[in-house]
Amino acid sequence: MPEVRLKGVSKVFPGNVVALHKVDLTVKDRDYVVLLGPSGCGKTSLLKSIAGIYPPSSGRVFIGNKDITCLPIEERNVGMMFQNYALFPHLTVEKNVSYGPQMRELPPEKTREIARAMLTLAKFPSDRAKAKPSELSGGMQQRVALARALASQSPVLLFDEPLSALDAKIGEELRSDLRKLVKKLGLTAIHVTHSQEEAMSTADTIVVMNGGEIMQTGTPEEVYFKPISLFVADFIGEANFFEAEITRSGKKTSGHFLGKSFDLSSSDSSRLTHKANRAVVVIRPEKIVVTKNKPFHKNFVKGRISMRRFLGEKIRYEIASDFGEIIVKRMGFGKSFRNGDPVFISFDSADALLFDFPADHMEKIVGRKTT
Amino acid sequence: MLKLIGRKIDSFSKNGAISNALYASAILFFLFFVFLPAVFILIHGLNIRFDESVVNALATSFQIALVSTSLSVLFGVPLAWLISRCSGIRKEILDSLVDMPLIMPTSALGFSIYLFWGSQYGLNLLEKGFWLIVALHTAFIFPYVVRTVSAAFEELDRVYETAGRSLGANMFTVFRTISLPLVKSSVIIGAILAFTRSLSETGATMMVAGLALTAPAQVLAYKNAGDMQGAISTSVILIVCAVAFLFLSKYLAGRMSFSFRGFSPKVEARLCCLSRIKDSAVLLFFFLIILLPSFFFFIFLFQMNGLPAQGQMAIIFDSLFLSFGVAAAVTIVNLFFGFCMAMLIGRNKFGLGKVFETMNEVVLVVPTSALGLSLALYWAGFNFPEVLVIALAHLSFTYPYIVTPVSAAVSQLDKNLEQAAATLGASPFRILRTITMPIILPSVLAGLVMAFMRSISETGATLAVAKTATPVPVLIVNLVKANNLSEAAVACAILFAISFILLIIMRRGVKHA
Repeated sequence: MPEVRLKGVSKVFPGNVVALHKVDLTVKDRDYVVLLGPSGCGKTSLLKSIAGIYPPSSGRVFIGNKDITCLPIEERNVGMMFQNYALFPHLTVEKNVSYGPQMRELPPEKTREIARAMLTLAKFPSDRAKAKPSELSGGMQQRVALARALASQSPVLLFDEPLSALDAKIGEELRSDLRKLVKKLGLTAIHVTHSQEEAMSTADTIVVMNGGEIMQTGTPEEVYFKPISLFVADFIGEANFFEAEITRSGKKTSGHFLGKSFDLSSSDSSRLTHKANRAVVVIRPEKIVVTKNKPFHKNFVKGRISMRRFLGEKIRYEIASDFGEIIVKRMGFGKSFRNGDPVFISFDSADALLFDFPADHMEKIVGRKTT
Repeated sequence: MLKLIGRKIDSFSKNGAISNALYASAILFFLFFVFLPAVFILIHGLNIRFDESVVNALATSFQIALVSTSLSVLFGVPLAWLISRCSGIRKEILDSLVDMPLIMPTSALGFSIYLFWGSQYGLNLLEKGFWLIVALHTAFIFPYVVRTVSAAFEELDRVYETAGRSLGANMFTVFRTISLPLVKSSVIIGAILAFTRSLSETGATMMVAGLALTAPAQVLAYKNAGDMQGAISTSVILIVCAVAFLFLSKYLAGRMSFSFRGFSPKVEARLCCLSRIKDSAVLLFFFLIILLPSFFFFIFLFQMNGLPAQGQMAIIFDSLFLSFGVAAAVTIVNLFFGFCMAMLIGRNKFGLGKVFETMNEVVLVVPTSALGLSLALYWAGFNFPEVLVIALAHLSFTYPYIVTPVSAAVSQLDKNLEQAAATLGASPFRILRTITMPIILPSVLAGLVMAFMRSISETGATLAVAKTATPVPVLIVNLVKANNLSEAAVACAILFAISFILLIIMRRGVKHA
């Protein structure tokens, strides 16, 4: 029922600052969508144009079949959670939560009932309902903000960086609660964040944005393993980027980087222009194998562990080869290498992604020097 | 050379005794030159007389203050909202216009208001008396309400409004249930400020009062008639009322809450459509009741034929010279001691911050004619020359105007900045010079200009201590009373022009800083 659709939405701020450029987006009913991108990418502007806070400069916004582009905020019926909670400081928790139902002129008993139910859903301790927001911890305030947004009983919820002001641990707890609740109540949620971890752990669909445009829309797996562009590959998670010369003979494709030739025949080259002879090879750190002994296939290179960091579930190695540095992540248990150990690094050609070499400088796109 | 002295003081200031000595001198100065003179009259507290004319004057004062404060709040709060919610050139213009009556010395304002409402040069609608005083007081206290409340609206995070609307509340409901309750303490503070200013205004009021004597005017009337007991009684009651009012308001600001039981979003949504009409009404009030009467004397000025005679001009310039001399001297002395006091309050040194803050507020609300009388009694034994007594009176009532903004700025200053400078090896005076001062400079400038302008425009305190000396505001009152309107207009114009230039300098300075 409440599908949220944006058609060619642009937002230009005074001074010709383009926050959104002709964005098309469809958020399916009951989908949990996360808008992800670096600061200034337009994700918040997008959310606010759905909420009605920033009317778009051009384009249309629909909820279901209703065109809401010109509706004022109060007539849109969307529940919103704000970045710094925006709890009304002069009202108690209970009054904050019942504000929405009161606006719909529900009878007082009904209003109270909804407020209590929503606070319980948001796991807010009922004995603190008479407290003022300033007496609560950040996590508790965010639970009130959630209850207040839910109490408007809107099928569409908007979350504007809801967890950015919280401690990591409390943030983790809350984000799983957010998702569970949205799923349990069958709501449609649009959630803005700059944290890819938060996006991965909450979203059905991730929308990666940059420079006021949508870069890629897909499941967390898709954006991680099948990034559509170098930007997405770099922004989501960590990756190795290698500058390569491509040569083709018959069905065989090979790439020259790290000082030798690698077989890339079974790599995903769908993003590479046909017959291009320069490319960027992207390999995720966990797809690279480190061994003490020389592997049997040819896709390997020699190196030495230059830095070892234990991260809990993973160990992150930086490995120096004669022609550059390679980042590798392995499981955090079992036998591991030490700094200075000589190793062999290898990868399966199917795990490498080939991208067109960017027209402007590589550093600009991926923000890091490559080999 | 200056650098050398600076360095010497820098190294000297590591000695804690120096700063303690400075604080001690600031405290002594405050007690013996500011606070005690202002409230000295209270020692006569047990010996006061309640006769009919005292009670009548007090009643008149309170009625006038109540009516004009109510009018100011009624129209001032919506205007403040309007200012804080518009932008660009419209905001700039409204913003500056609101300040205009504030920079106009009250005696000039009183003259202008009288010309507009009460003379044949203007509308000739109001007789000298109650309603003319109300018109005058509304004009000069209106900016206090609008300034205080619009600052609060500016500071209010807009996200609360957005949040309220995202929950389905219309603009009017959001204003009533969220924005207004959140700025309520500023509304109360603005109203109190306006009320106490109205209670204490003397000079301009005397110009337009006719037979309706207000309490401060009554003080002066008694004094001039030689009835010291009457003057003291009225002053004591006036001071006690003003101080009681101050504490009451502090108590109320913390506790009072606007409850909003009734919700009728549909009705209020319809009210939203009337907002245009409301805005127009508010603007109309502001332009026709506040602004036009306040500046009407300019129109009168153009109707005049030629300047007053040479001799008259010489008197005007003598008065100006006296006024500016006193104001400059007083401001410089207060800057030094007031600054030390502001540091003491802002940093809560020796745990005395709250005490001195409250004492400062007491001085601020004491009606100036009562303060003048009290001060005259306090210094009576010393036989000082008249100009010195006037300066001492001005010293006392302008002092809080420097301390209040500077101490607020000091207490808001991020302590980490000073600590960071200290970890980088800066001595206390060096930190003050290179970190603290530059950051709080706008507040210091604002305080300076406010104190200076208050000194220039004060009538009540001067009249209470002066016998023959006539600073400009007193001269204007005398001229109007003697019906020398064109001389008064010229004096007003010069006074206003200088105040206006000062205001521009202050704004520049604040922006620059």
